[in-house]
Amino acid sequence: MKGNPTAMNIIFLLLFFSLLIAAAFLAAFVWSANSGQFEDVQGPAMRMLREERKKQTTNS
Amino acid sequence: MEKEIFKYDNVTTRNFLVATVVWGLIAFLVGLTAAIQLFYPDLNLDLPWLTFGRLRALHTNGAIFAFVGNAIFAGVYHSMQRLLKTRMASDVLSKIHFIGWQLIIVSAVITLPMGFTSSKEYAELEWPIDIAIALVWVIFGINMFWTILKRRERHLYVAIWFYIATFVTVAVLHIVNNIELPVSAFKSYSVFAGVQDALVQWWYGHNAVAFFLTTPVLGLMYYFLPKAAERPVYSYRLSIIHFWALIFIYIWAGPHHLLYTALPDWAQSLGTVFSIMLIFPSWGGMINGLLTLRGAWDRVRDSAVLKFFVVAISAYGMATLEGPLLSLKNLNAIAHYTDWIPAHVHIGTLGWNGFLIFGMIYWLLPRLYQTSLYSEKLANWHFFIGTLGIVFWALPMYVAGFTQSMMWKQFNPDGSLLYGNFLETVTQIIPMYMLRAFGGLLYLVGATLLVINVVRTIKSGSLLRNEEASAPALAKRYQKEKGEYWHRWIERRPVTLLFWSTVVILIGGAVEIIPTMKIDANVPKLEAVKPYTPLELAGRDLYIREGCNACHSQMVRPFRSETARYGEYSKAGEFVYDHPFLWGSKRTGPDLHRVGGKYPDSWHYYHMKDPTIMSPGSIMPRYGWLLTNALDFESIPPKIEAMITLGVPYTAEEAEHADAIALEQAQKIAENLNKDENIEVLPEDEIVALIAYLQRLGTDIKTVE
Amino acid sequence: MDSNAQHYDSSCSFCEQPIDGSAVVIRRERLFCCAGCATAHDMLSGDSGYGPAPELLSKYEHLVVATAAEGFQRYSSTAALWEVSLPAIHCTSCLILLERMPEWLDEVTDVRVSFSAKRASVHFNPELVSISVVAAWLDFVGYPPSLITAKKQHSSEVMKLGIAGFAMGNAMMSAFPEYFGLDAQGHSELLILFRYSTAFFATVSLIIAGRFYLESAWKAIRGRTWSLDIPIAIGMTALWGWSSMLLVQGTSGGYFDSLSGLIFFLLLGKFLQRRTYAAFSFERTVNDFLPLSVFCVNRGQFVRLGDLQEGDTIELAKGGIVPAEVHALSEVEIDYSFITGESQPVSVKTGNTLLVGGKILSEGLRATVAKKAQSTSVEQLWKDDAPDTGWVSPKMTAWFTLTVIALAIVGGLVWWDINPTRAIEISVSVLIIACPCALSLAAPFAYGTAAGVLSKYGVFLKSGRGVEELSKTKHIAWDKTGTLTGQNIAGDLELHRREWSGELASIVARSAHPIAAGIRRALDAEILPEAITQWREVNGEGIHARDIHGRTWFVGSGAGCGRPAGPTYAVCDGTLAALYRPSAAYRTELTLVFRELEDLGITHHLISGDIPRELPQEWHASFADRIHFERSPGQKAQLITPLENCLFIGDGLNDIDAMKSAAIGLAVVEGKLGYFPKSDGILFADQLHQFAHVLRYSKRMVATVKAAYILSLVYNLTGVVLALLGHLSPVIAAVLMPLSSISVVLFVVLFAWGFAPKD
Repeated sequence: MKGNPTAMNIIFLLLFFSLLIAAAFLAAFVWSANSGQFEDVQGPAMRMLREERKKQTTNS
Repeated sequence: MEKEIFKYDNVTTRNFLVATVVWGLIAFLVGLTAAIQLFYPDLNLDLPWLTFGRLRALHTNGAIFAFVGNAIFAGVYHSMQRLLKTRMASDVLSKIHFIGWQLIIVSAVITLPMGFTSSKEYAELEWPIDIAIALVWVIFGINMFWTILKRRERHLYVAIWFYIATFVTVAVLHIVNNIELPVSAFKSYSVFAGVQDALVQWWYGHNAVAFFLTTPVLGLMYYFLPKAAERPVYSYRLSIIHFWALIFIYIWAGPHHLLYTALPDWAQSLGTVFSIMLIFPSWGGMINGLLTLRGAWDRVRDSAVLKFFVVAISAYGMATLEGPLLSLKNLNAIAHYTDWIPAHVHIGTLGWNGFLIFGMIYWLLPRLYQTSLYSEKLANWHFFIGTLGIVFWALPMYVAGFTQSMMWKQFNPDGSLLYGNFLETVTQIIPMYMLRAFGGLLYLVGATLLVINVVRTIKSGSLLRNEEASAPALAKRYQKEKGEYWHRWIERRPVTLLFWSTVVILIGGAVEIIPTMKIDANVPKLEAVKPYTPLELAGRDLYIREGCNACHSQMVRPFRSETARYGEYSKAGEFVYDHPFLWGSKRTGPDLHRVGGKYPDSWHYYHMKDPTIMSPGSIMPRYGWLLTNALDFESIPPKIEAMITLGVPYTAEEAEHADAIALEQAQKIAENLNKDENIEVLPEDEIVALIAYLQRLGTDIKTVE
Repeated sequence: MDSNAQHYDSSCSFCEQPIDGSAVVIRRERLFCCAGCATAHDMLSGDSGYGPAPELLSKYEHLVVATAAEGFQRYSSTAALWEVSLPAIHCTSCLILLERMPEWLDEVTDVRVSFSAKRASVHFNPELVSISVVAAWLDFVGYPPSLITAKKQHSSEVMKLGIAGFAMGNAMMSAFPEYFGLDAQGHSELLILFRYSTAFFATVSLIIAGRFYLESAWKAIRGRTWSLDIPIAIGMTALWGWSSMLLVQGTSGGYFDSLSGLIFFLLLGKFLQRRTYAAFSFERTVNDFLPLSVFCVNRGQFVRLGDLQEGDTIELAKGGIVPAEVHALSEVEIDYSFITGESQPVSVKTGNTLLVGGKILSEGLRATVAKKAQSTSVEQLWKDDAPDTGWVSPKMTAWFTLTVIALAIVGGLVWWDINPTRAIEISVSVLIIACPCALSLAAPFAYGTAAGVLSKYGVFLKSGRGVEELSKTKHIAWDKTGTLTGQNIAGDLELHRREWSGELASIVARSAHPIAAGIRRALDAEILPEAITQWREVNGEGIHARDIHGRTWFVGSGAGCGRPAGPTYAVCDGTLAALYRPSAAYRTELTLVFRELEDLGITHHLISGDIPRELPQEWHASFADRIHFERSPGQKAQLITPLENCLFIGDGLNDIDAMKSAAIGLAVVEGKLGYFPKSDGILFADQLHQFAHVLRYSKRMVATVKAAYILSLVYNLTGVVLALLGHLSPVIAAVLMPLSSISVVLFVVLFAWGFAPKD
């Protein structure tokens, strides 16, 4: 870097916010693992296919 | 556990969908206009509000926030309710969200052509609108998280995680990149300068691409593709893994937009490595999407929706491979600043975003209106025409980019540039611009077919405003046995400790670091680098207003072909007072960092009046109004004061008398200009300030001969 | 309508999922993907008369005393939750059908399926319906509950793996700036930031995830055994300690990034190893097969087995399992195949003893408890497995560890001579780079992948150790009943009236009964859904139907149409249309397998508890005089013990002793459900003809693992040489360690896939 020693201080800021976001998501991950979000890794993909019974039907 | 009966809100979804279609059409039209302007500059119509420089921002903001944005909200509101088995938490917030977002777009449509811009890509909107965006975004977030809390389905389907990731990261990115000091109602200066600003901008820019154009759309894919194909996602486990892999390392994105610039080598290399690593989680999404259709390819043949999805996902795969490859230094050296980059962008936007959204609209709208799509045939036509459009858009641009890059780099045997005149490299690719515009036209035509289909479908059906559904309330969690409890308690401990210690460390770090953010006026950067004079600053703001950075870069890279063409390569220290930075990302026109002193003042005068006078064949628009508009000198002192606040070493006296100082410099320049018998200019004319700025560029350091 | 037009709307009328063409069930011109959906649909349309038959209800009666049953929880008088294992869950339709249960059974308020665990959480109102009825209904729609406790996954493993992955990714990224030249450019604060970041991530990973190896190594040392975790722990400690020192000194960033990568890969290996083999839970005890409770006459209620006293009089229904040693109070027919493998029923006179595990074949029985349920001879058949010592043999581990330590010491001493300041650094470097990460990953990944390949050949092993044992097999001891013979795999169909095949096919297509399926398979005729106007299935009897021409049909047992018992009859207006006999014959397709196995050097033995039955001619050469019938479990064991590297293939609990005495035992299983006794794995009967491929594959996999060991040792050697020469640096370690792990893993996985027999 040519001649501007303080310019890269911006990295601290960016890293700070990035790590903050990352830490938040790490916490979210830990919560997920502990609250059973990963217990069933196949069911949700099938469950979301269930169509609700509607009053009027759509033709497709 | 009785089954609870509730109703899904379809009105907000419908509203967002309609907004998507309307704004989409407008964004495409603006894009097409801009594309035509590049080979038919007369289409600028000599109107400031329609110049390419200003329309470009309108197009990007329109495409990203108006088209994709509304589509995301439509898809999120529709899928969230059904995945969580509950209505959106607050109808009021939904309404505010919708209206607020449209008002923001309208304000963009008004302000951007008027030249109220911050110049920072995809963040051009000025500070009042930035605040509005933050507020509306928060409202969206409250609505979303509240809905999650009220859910009747315990498991958070992977799409929901993508939406959450989008919300959190976009919020942070938007706020950090738009930290700006207002100077007037619609003008502000970035708190960061030069290299710092560049890094922040592209940390935002790349993450905006990631978290606005990718993650939420992946979320939509994970909902609408299985629904349309009537089969579950190929591997739900893979979707979970690639989501968390993506989010855990995405924080390192950004530097790959700044290769060969004044960014330090190690940061550039880091950007490259990270970008390559990113291929894997990204392709996880693509693989999952395409393999979901395995065994159902015959259904793709019969369904326009699935056709759109397949092309969209393929485009996504292409773009997420091309991006990392473009961050390799050797490829980047060729591609940066050329049309290769827009080609890459539009594979992603036209292909991935556009087509996924079209597919979603074709699938969702008939269902909301309890009818079937007006014409499957028309939708198929849209698909074919649109796909052709993408091909005609991108391929010519690849050719153009490569051509231009090669021409820039070619040397004569004697060491001089083969194409010394930049304009030669422009004229060469005009046919490519025409083809690209044709591609854009095709895409627009396709979109028009969509509009017809949508309107007719709406007319043929009736909106199911509130859709009844039922589900039992969230079941009680099966209590773990006592034996397991203490085990989990202990396990939770280290993690809580980890989390809190991280937070503490980060806060501690921040407390230490933020004060150092301000440029220390006592430490000279480069001795010779001085702040802009008041007049030059005013001229810089004009440069920003007209969107000159859309076509001109200000960053000479350390390549022989560039130093031969432009002069000494750019040093980071030269930009310390640039609030905001103006490195640009495209060279439709030549780099301007060393333009100071290259041409006489009168050259610039004529050039702005009509570029073809000085450069026959130029595609640059005419800026006649600059010759007659009067610069508001009273607006200058507040600017200087703002700069002082940001740490630029002006004296208080300079601030107080900035208008007079500027006028003095302007008079000198005007006098000089008027020596030419064909020029009659007043010191107050805007052109004077602009010339002052242009003549200053790059003159601070003396080249070492 | 054109009866040749077979183009149906391809979605199930109930669950709306696409129908796999061959499994369609038709009821009243509607198509369903399975009988369960068809039943559910009919019930929803208000059809009465559907429901579990009395026998089915009584089968689950013992659940009434289920308050202590695993998975049952009562919240209030009107709300209860039953987390029940339903092994038959296998597709999207299953999930939808079960989660829609509240629609077709009002008293059930909510059902949530955990697909991966093949378990459903059923919320119901115990005041309105009892758990036994819920169980019967589940069985009725095709999902018989399994009361065998399913192992629950550890969520903490996933969490640790995630944290390790997070740490690795971010540690790597924050280590790169220094590798890319950051320190040379004068940004010391940034350098410090990145160095400490990397250290932070790696340390966190060590504390939360890597801790396991340190603890395991400590346990092994205290237990005086050699586990591969010992050198791993040494490596980790050396890594962390040395790196911390370098960090604090300000010399460099240390090896923290390598540490975080190491921990992640190790954890990944462990995770995959556990996950692959969790699919089938093999931890059964005899109590898992017995009813939870039994009706005690003298107390007038259902009583838990553990509460039964000597002298209690219990009542057993037809089909019930004898839960304790009892004296019969009336003459009874018992099926002891559970214990002896003998399929012929045994007649027991009044007053004689009935053994645990027998199945009551005659109508109801009263008996007095002779011995409490706990202490019976069947218990002794169950012994615990020896603890697992890990993949690499203790001997090899010891050799490896001691060599590394020796090299470290020698290296340090030599360097003390040359350049004392570097001596410690060299010693530690050796310890760091010699960490056997790749070595410990080779087998788990190899056998983990192999498990997937083997599952395609119908073989499910309890652990990867099974692959090793299989590869060494020299003798195979075959059981007879169920292994060399089968049930209902094929049948003989005598078609007397070919012109009615269409109608017959249409009738049997609507039934889920295996015999109906057998007839359907044997018939080569198109289904004509409109041809049948009335249709009714009576459990235990057969199908009554009427076709479009007004003819009355009956397909079922002799009792239902006044003919001799034995075959299944298809009778139309009194005329015999077809006759069907399911065969329990020898699986003749095995002839080729025996030969292929002999080519691999295998000697075959037949060891059975059954009465003698003549073997097919073609098999005589393979078995010669090594045929033993009527052997008791103990005798079987005696025959097997002297055989070196013997594989025992059998079924039923009666083979437990034999399985224990053999080097490896596999249980043959007929359908989706079956007994999973304490064998080393199971084998699906219809895949027996692939067994030679399985054995060949096992040999190749073992060779692959050996090659992988050599490959990882080469890496270790390279690293150690570099370390001894003083060339080990953080960069080199950061490259070498992930490289070795990834390349070894890729190597074994690719070979595991590559060796898989092509279809």
